[in-house]
Amino acid sequence: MGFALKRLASAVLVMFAISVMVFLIFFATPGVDPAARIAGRGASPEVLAQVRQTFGLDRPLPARYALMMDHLFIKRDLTSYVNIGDRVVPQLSHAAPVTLSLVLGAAVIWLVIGVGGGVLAAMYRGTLVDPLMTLAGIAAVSVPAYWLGAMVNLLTQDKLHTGLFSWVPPLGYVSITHPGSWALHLLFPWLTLALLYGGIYARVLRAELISALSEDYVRTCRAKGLSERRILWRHALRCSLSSVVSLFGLDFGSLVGGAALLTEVVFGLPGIGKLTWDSLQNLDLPVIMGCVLYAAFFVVAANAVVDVLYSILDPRVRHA
Amino acid sequence: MPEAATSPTAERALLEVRDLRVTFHTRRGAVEAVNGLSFEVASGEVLGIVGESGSGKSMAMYSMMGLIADPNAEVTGSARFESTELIGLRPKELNRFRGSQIAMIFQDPMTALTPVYTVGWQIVEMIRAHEQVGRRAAWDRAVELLQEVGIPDAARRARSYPHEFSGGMRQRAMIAMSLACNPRLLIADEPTTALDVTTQRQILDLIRRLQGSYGSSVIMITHDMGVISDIADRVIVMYAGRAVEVGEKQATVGAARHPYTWGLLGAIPRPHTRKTVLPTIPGLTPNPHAMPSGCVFRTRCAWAMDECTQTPPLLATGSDLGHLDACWLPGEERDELRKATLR
Amino acid sequence: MSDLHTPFESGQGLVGATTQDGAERSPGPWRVALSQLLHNPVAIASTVMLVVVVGACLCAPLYAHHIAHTDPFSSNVTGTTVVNGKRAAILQQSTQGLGLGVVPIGPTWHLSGFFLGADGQGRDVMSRLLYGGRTTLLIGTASAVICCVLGALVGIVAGYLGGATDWILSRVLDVIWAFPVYLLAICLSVVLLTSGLDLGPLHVSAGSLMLPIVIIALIYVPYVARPLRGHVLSLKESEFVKASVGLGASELRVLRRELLPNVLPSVIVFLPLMIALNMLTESALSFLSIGVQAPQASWGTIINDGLDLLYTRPWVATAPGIMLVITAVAFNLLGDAVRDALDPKAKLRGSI
Repeated sequence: MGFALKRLASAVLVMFAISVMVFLIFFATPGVDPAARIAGRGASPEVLAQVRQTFGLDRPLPARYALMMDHLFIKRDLTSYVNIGDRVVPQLSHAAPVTLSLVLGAAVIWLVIGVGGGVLAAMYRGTLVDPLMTLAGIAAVSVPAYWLGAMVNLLTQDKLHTGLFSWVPPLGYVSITHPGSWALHLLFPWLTLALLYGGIYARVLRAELISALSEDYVRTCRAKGLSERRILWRHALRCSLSSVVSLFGLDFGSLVGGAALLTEVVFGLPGIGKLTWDSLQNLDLPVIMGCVLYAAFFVVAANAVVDVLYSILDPRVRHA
Repeated sequence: MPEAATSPTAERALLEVRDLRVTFHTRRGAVEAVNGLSFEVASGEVLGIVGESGSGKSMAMYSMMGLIADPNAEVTGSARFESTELIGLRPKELNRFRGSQIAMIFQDPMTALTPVYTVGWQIVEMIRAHEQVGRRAAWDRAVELLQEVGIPDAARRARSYPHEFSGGMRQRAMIAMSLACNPRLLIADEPTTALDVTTQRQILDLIRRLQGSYGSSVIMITHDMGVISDIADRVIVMYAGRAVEVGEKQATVGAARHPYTWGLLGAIPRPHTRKTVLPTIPGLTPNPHAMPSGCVFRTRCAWAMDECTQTPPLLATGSDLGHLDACWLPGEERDELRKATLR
Repeated sequence: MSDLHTPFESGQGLVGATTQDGAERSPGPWRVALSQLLHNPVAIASTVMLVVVVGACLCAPLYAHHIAHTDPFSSNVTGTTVVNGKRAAILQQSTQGLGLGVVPIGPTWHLSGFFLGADGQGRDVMSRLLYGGRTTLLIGTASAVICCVLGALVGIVAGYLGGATDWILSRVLDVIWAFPVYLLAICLSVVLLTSGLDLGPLHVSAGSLMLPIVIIALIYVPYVARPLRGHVLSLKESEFVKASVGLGASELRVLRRELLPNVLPSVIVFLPLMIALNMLTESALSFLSIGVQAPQASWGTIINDGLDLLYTRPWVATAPGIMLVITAVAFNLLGDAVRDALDPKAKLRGSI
């Protein structure tokens, strides 16, 4: 119980530190005047003063910070700087299901690709399959996500749209209340995201499996007369799981928090990533703060979940 | 061609190894880890194989069991286990023997068990891989085995993980697992090297007791002459991939005939003698990429002669036909020379 | 120790490798690693590919002035060029759809000019590609070097000194790393790129390349520092370090002779992987218009330029992407090969 409390306290501390960092970046970087940005270029001094007054920018830093946190968490009525009157929290809650749809679907696909690919590469190590899988994995890590998305669009929306991909709907998001259309709109975003992450996972799993297969306990298993298949699935894979699981936890956490920003922008999906990007372009600080804290929360939560999963998967850690 | 180390009895041997060679093809040339090893193991006997690290003793056993994972390794020769040739068998076929007929325990118990499964689970896995037994029955048998090897509170311990055992307990558990299917042959690869002296003693006693009650043969691999004189019936002394001396324990330990064996025996610290310097064999084991021609030991032998540039055959140089050695020294002089060395 | 895997392959420190007179000296780990690399066809192929790419990009001015005779940086909306012997306008009337707007000429596939066509402002894409490559490679490499050096410093100091220093450094690393990486880069870039940085005596203008270099280097410092710190921590407990301390070696000596040579391979392994990662990060930032700023070009900015022309002149966006993939793959493959050569059992997180 004490351990859980400590974890919680440190999580809150981290979130606090992040919120301070964001605040300082936007409001305290030397040479940067937030009022000038909000008011736009070439604004007259009177307009600037007006802006400062409205947004409380003439008050000392700690006061402004406290004010913003107060609006965000306590009164829960933090409003955007740009779209005056629009509340921040509802914007987040509208964008969240979009991102969740994208990430969940992609996650299923990339786990299948990753585990399947990694196991295949380890099983057929030394043959031609292995270096091909390694190359595929490296290519997956080396491809810029937004470029891949653009290429996919090029093919599905334009070049091959009349023929092979005539069924591909235009860019955008459809709510899950129309499941068929929802899935169809998300198909290529899923595949694009899954390709990138699946490649990473296949490589990580392959490396872990090959390392596990050279361990002494595998030698014991062979001396026991167990089949190679059983050794791979029941022993080597089981012992390699913890690294894949922890990687998945962290990646899932950060993606749900908005790390799929580039994919969402390229495919026109109004998720958290797109929201973050739009708010950054407009320097809409309250929304930025909301998005960053939203993302940070998931990263911190994911870290904690992964730690718990680690101790479940590896009995040696439980007693540490 | 070294002659076979045949046992004097006419009984059919459990394991017959002839001219076993393990060659590693490296970028710098071929390295012979095992260079023409031949021996037999009779039913119910304990064969000790003793030698320094790098002598090829473990490699020979791994090659028989198909445990060499290196694709650059080439294994030739013959190893017949009860009339089945093991060399060249595919893993699927080897699995009929591994675990059930021939079991093996390894040097480092810390890493030899899968860390994520309980000890009981792993023993049950072994049993059910070879026999048609239900889970409950297999578990009971596993607990029985753990009891037999002297693990207290076996029923609870079976549900523990390997890292929760001490080194000695883990090795006992490994022994229990290896005996689960009543193997005809148990190969023990330096099972006591990683343990302290007291535990060492206990493990050796355990192996000897179990060997008696199960009737299995044991091949005990070690670098420790003390272990050999404790537990072995027959002994093979290996050096640089070859057998240099073979014989019954009494003969080999009590009346050794090869200079290398003298070196090994001389290096055993004796508690009641007043010696200021512990004798060692001068020099180092030869670089496997650059083995000396002829007798491999001649670069470190105090009695090297011109004849030693020819490889000596492994044969009986004395009256005991079961006691073989590979040395050009005149047979009659061996006793004298040995006494001179081991004074 | 498992002796199932070519115990004789490495040739280092084997029992028979005596240094006594006449006998052969076994090669040290660096020589062994280098020899293994030189025998690795993948490593050689990647290096060759990188040399080709870097060489081509370095020759950008040569290409632009002497071969293509185009200026990749100035707008050329009214210019003309020779295509197949005929003079044609670079930006032509669009024939698609409603016939509104202008479309730049497509690839001529002639090295003499507009090999890949022109972009929306009439500039030669091929020349820009080469110049952009210089920028991307420069930023990727510089930030990777800074990141590795800084990360190594922080990791080693934190791991070695321990105590309060370690605690503070670790907390700083934790907070930086908890901030979603891409977000931190974006936030910093958005803020700094509009007005530059004015920190006392330090003044960096908004268009300077130092900004992306430093930002990208900073956000990945925890990525390098944390595994290195863990490595140093476990090295501190290792027997040879304890032996050295027990023999009375000074802290500096232990650091220099025992720790650094053992940590160095890990840092070297990180370098090519970080270059690839940083190049991709820079291109993402440039794509979002918060990385490299006009008039400079990088592969990311060219892809951004090409988005509007995606369906009409796809090569503008496609070519830089292909270059990025090829270069990143080569760096990743090289990094893997280096890691395999230096330590086949490496378990660094950087090994994706």
